[in-house]
Amino acid sequence: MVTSMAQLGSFAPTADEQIAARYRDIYTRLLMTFSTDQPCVIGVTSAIEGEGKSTVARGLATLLAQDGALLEPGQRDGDILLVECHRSQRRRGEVASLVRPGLMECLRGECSPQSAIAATGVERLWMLQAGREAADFPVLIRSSRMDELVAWIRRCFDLAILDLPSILTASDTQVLAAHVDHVLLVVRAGVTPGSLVRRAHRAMGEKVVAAILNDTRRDLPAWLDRGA
Amino acid sequence: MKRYLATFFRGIWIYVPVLSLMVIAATVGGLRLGYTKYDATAHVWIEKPALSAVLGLNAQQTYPPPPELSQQQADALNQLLQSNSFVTEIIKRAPGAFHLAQGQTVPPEAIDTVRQGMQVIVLGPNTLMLAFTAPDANLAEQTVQATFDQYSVWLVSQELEQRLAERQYYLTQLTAHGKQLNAAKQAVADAERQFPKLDPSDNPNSVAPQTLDLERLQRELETAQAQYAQTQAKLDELGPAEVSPGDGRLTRMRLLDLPASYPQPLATRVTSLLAYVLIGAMAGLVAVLAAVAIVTWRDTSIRTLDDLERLVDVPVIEALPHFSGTRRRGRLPDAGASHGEIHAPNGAFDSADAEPAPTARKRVSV
Repeated sequence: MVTSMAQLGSFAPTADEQIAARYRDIYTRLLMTFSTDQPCVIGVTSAIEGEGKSTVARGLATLLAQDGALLEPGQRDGDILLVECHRSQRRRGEVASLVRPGLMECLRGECSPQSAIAATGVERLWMLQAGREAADFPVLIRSSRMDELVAWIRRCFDLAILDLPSILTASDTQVLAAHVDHVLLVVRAGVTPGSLVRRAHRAMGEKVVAAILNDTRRDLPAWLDRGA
Repeated sequence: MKRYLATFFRGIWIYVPVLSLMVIAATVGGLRLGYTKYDATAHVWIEKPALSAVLGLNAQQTYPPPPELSQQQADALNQLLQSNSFVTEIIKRAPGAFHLAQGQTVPPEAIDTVRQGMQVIVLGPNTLMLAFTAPDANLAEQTVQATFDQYSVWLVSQELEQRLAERQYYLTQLTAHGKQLNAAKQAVADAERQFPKLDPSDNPNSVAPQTLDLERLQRELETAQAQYAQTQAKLDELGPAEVSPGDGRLTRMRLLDLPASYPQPLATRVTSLLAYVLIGAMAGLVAVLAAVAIVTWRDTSIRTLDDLERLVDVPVIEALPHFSGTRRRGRLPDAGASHGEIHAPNGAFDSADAEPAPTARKRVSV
């Protein structure tokens, strides 16, 4: 018999569970926005750096794969590929010579996509990292090899999520956006000026199907913010 | 309105301390400056010299017309109150109120107290009000009385000095005119002695040089007599050099009522302190409100779902809240995944030679 709350455990969801619930909401609403009957490529981007697009892309891919949202037994495996299309900051402690071959090497023809793509700890989730830093990245993404790679990805995966660079820092995003079916725009609350968001949205045009407001904070106390 | 409130609560860690600091500063200021106040007043009647209408004193018409008598006196008194010597004399007339022993030097603080507390208010063309606010009722009353007395003395001495100066001027004029008169008389007498039988009235049409000379001298004599008489008359108008009781040539001032203070103080120390605290709080509130308004106007970032929906014409499908302390780099995502990195088992991503998972190879060979 339960004699104390300690024995019963806490009813409040943990932070991880809360985060998972949010991403579940995101992919549910996304899947209601467009059809995934055919292999689909989604780009996740933002107006400027530091708005959380990579985090959103990874969280979205992880939850989609974990929940098996695209899995249809007997019809499709529900495999999801996360493609890292930029290396805006080197990972902590990473050594350049030990970076795994990725997108850059595939586009240069130094390795095949099969060897560059690696499994993750999540079933049905695969990842193609950006690879070593490349000065010729703008040239590579404009080459025909990019078209071939994207076509190959569509054949092999049910859904690909591209973690794109930010829109206003370079024109590469608009080049890469030509290869995606839909764009998800991430905006960080309290950081990005509205004028920049407007410019970024205009730059991407009709490919933007949805937006996510990231890192919102409750500024008002609950008793003042009723109904928000 | 919500945006302004949100701005306030976002910066509450600075707005509230600023407001508190201003209230504390006002409280400290109030403790130093606030004190119980007693107000003493006295009404003063001022009249022109009694003989001014008769003698035409100050009858000179000027444009624009001069200020009213009470305004002139008020201006003069206010200027005198800026002088340390005048205020010192006031204080010396009320040594008991200022706790000064005979012969003791008047401290500068007392001079500042009188200068800052004394008010001269014009109530009408002939009426002034003297008002003084002090921590003590006795001090207030005696200071008002002393101010009136000192100004009365100063006014009399000023007018007397002016009278003396004018007298001196006219005396000098009289002396000069007297000499001219004597010279003219002497010239006429000499002419008559030289031509005893010459009388211009006997033969008015005569053009003899002697006749013309005599006529001229007589005219000069008349002119000198007139000038002398005019100067003498002005000297008589000024009156004697000393002041006598009922002198109708001096401006008259008198107290309509003796200086008196209200039985209850104008403000107590507590009310003074509360007033300062309230002022400090209001000033702090205005400063905080102004800062909140400015920060809100300048904040063009997107903060709410509504902001983003107004900006873009696509659905905003989620507002991810800020999660603190959940970033764990290098962790395997599992049920209820965090924002962590995607990482292969056994650190496979760290090695360039890591093999793809078997299921992926099978799948990608299609």
